[in-house]
Amino acid sequence: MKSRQDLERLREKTLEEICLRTASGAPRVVVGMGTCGIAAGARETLLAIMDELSKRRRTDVMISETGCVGLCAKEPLVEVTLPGQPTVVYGNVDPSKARRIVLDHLINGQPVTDWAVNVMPSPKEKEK
Amino acid sequence: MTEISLHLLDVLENSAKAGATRVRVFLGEDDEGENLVLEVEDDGRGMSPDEVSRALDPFFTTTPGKKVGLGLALLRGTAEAAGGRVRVRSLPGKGAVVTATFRLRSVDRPPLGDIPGTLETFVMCHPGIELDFTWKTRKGSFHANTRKQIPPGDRGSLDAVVAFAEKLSAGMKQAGFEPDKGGFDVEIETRS
Repeated sequence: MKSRQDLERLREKTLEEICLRTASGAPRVVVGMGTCGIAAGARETLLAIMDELSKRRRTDVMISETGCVGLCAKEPLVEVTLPGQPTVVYGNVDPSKARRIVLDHLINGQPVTDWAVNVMPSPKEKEK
Repeated sequence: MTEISLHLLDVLENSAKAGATRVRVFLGEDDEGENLVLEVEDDGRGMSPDEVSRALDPFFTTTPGKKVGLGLALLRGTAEAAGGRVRVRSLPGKGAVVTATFRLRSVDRPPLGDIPGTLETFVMCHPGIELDFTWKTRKGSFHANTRKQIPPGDRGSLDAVVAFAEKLSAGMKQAGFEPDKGGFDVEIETRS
């Protein structure tokens, strides 16, 4: 690093990487972390998602959690939303399934329909 | 719950739901080395005396639309099976303190489990909550604080959380933390 410009470029690059979690256009993953989710293994699922995203340098994805949604038998539940696409809820997501969901859905944009327990239309589709 | 760390995560999630901005966690042995102590203190909205008295009841919850609240009831089950107890102290607007004790050498005491992974999960999902964690046993002690160790602009960033978790894991290992098999394991070690 030699100049102020270098420093500014580094700042922009870092900000891009962090991609401010509040950005509305960011892909989003939500893991069910109620008592039922935790007992079913949601922590390992979330750690697998974090590890896979970190390895693939996809630091723009917003990772979040939610409480019990009433579908305890299908925990751990993972909800994936890509901007402008329907939200897909996956059930019984163990760490290996979680890694595949990250790769297929979050990175390649192809939902793993076999494991989906619900598909919710995006807000734009709802308006129609 | 198969590990004490899962109970910890569950209690931490309660604090987050209560709107806490700061959570203090103590995990370690008591002075006599007889009991394992888990204490979670938050500055959330707290509970009324009536809510405190029913907090350990599995059929009581403050969540609208739900009929059961199993988290603290399960913690009580685990603690009492291991010869310990759970104590809940709280006042409205003054946060809450949940203290669970387990007899260290009770054969029914579950393993501690993945404590660093548990804290990593919580810090990732709740970037706005300051987590202050202390681990203390006769082998050593360790302290971590997310506000001091993660710069404000990086809170919630995957890289920063992973780096924090790595430091946490290394620090705890240095302070004598290692994966255990629960009270049964300690009992066998003591005898041999």
